[in-house]
Amino acid sequence: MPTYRRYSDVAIGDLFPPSPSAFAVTDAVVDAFCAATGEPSRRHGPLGSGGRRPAPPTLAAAYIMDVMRARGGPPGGVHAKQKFTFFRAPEVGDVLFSQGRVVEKFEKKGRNYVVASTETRDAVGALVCTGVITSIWGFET
Amino acid sequence: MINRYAEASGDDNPLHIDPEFGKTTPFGGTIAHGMMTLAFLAQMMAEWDWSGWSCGGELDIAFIGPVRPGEEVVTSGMVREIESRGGALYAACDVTCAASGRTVLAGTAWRRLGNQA
Repeated sequence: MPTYRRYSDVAIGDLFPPSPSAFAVTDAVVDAFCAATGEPSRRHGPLGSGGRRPAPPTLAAAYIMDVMRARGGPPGGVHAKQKFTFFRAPEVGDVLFSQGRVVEKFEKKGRNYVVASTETRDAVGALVCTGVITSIWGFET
Repeated sequence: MINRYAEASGDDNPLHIDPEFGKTTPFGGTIAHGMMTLAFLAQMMAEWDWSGWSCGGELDIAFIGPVRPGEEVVTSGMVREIESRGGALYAACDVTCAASGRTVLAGTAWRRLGNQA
């Protein structure tokens, strides 16, 4: 019995998770992400206006991960397309709040696709990043 | 590197880290996370202009092919045009990533240049 969400259960307008997921941007998180992506060991970018250490904007991959888990789906899904708009770099000390919404479903060449928008805001509600992710749904058993 | 990215990003999709699972997929083996390849592209944009990329930067890309373990990714970009949107100027760039001579990512990245005079 599969424990993942089935494509047929995904509906346009689905919001996931029900409440925005929280992600704490810490030195350890930024260090690990930079090391994993071959970033130089220097502190990434000039310090922000508050003197805080900035993180690569594509830390988005990490802070929307809980959103994508909440969307669900079988293992083996493939990332097909990605749009991002970066409003500011995440900074160490930030707690970011992210949520996603299904905006489209379609079938192409025998594979099922799900398109979802994502939105990430900081603790005072200001936008940090928005995105649109197109995923090829994994094979269901 | 792929396993390290999985740990750092939290993306433990077995397609990227489980060789036995990878063999069961159309790829025939594990492949790198698309977001990891995207991070390489983003590094190029950030090195070009940190401020214009991190505050107002955008991208719209497609993952065209897999990056396999052990491959080297080469990123490139070219300014296609200067756009005026919402009172600001942006450099629209055609961007690609290639691995072993194959294009694996392609699309557009925008660097914010500043407010329009």
